[in-house]
Amino acid sequence: MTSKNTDNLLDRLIADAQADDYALAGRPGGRHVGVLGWVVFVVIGVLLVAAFLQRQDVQPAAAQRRAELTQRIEASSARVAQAQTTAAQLRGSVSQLQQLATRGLGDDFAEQVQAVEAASGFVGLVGPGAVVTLRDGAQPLPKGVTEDEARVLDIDMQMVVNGLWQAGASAIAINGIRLTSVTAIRTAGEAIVVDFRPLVPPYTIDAIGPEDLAAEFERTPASEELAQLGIDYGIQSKVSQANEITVPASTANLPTRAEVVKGGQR
Amino acid sequence: MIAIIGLIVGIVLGILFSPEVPAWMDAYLPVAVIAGLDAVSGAIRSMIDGNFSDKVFVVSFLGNVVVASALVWLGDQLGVGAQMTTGVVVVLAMRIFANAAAIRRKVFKA
Amino acid sequence: MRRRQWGVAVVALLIGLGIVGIVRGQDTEEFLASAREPDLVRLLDDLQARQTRLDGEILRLQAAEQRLRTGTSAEALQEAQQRADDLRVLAGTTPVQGPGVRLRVDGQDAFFASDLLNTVQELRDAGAEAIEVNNQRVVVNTWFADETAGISVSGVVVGSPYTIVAIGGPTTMATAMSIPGGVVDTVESQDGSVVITELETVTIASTVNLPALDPQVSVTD
Repeated sequence: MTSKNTDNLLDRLIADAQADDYALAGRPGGRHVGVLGWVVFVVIGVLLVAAFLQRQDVQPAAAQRRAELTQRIEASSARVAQAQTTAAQLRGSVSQLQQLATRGLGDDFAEQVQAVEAASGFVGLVGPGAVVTLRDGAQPLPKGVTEDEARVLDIDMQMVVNGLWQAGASAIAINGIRLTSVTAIRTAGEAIVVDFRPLVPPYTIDAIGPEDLAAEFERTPASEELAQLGIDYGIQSKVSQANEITVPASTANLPTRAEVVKGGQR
Repeated sequence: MIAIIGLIVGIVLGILFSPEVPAWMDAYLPVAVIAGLDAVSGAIRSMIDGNFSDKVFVVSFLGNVVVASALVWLGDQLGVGAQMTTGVVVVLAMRIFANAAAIRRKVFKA
Repeated sequence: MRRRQWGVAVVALLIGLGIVGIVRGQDTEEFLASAREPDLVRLLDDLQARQTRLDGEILRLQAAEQRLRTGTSAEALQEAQQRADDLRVLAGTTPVQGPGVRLRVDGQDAFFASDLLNTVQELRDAGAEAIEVNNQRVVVNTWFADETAGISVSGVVVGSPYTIVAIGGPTTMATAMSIPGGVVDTVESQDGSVVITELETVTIASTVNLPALDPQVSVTD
């Protein structure tokens, strides 16, 4: 490529940079590579490897640990997700087989089981209710608030969920994870963890309940606290009514230590 | 063209002997490597064009490595080390692209 | 003419897929990239614990499936009853017993609705399967609110001292209560006291009514 005379500085820079040394040298050297050439090729090869090896050492041990951890987390997440699918499939199959087997007990039993499933959170439901969306504070944050402080915490989530139950919700799911009496809402560092699964914002809380659930929620102290969180920390929230909210069945484990005491059931 | 084997020989030697680079060379090695790759891409292109010359190859390699390293060093002294490195890498990368494109055109006629 | 368009179409498709892949990958990747190392470790631990529980559940389910397919109808009925019982435990409609802990929290101004809420979540995180507060059964839809006389548990006001009973792994739950920044810390810093007792067997006698399914709500699947 020969350099052209253009008025454009950038074009000239680029053209100059790409100037072909060999053509400019003007020697018709052919293809023969002498000793010197060979040496330089070998040197470049060694340099290449040295540079790669250097990269390995330059990364401090901590960064490598992180990379390893992240990899293991991703692999573990994938395996857990797959195990969940398998478990869900098995649950469905077992449930079907059980239904067949208990046909003899009549519709009463099946109805009762369904009622308990719905109350405990182990069957999917669809109905009217409210949807609450929570987001970490976004720039510009309120005065004096750091990014850390503007994050939605587990106590904030618990407070909102508490308010929804108080307002009359009958089933709640957070980012598609159904809440049950064995489902915990915790924080691990910067993530909210529900049922041992870390969530990524925005957090969508689906609550099935009476049609006016959203309005009822606005009357609970939780609604006020939520507004205050917005003012103090910039946490964004939105409460809306919806007519067809779907919450999935929980995939949490059934109890293994608690045993029913016969003779006192409702 | 067989001299490319020299490159492979160098890589093999590097893997066998795991050369360790003294710490002060840390910032310069990557730049030197890219300068080397630029020289290699230029060499291959000239071989295809039929005007390769040992001398030009060696001088272009050494010259680019020295100038690139000097620029990076100067940049570090002036406090713009990262930017300078970026600039050097960008220019070298453009050259590699241009040579690769020329090679591609000649070889694949595309 | 057509061949040229094919090439462009293929390239455009690949670019599109690439963009979607990158955009989708962003969310969790961003989170993982910005988390601190001890948090990553905890996340991994939680995931591994979950994996173990899931594996156990899968084995149990497979065994149950096997029994249902090859067993007698009497056995199938028993399985169904067991499952119904398990669900009743979680729904809180039956008294339960098992190993667990009892917490006694003293101090009128040391324990509030938000503390109780946090305690319940901490217990659940530690594996509690059934919880009771001052003889009020705590289930998924139990809510707490501050009242002058104490704390309202789904409408029933209870006062200090608060007795919280939870069934599950005694040591795990007791440890969870005592970690720095946990319930014990919070209550004691507010001039209250907490006494934790690990029990081999404890009974939770309180129950809640089984709510009827709202007519507007239907089951999916």
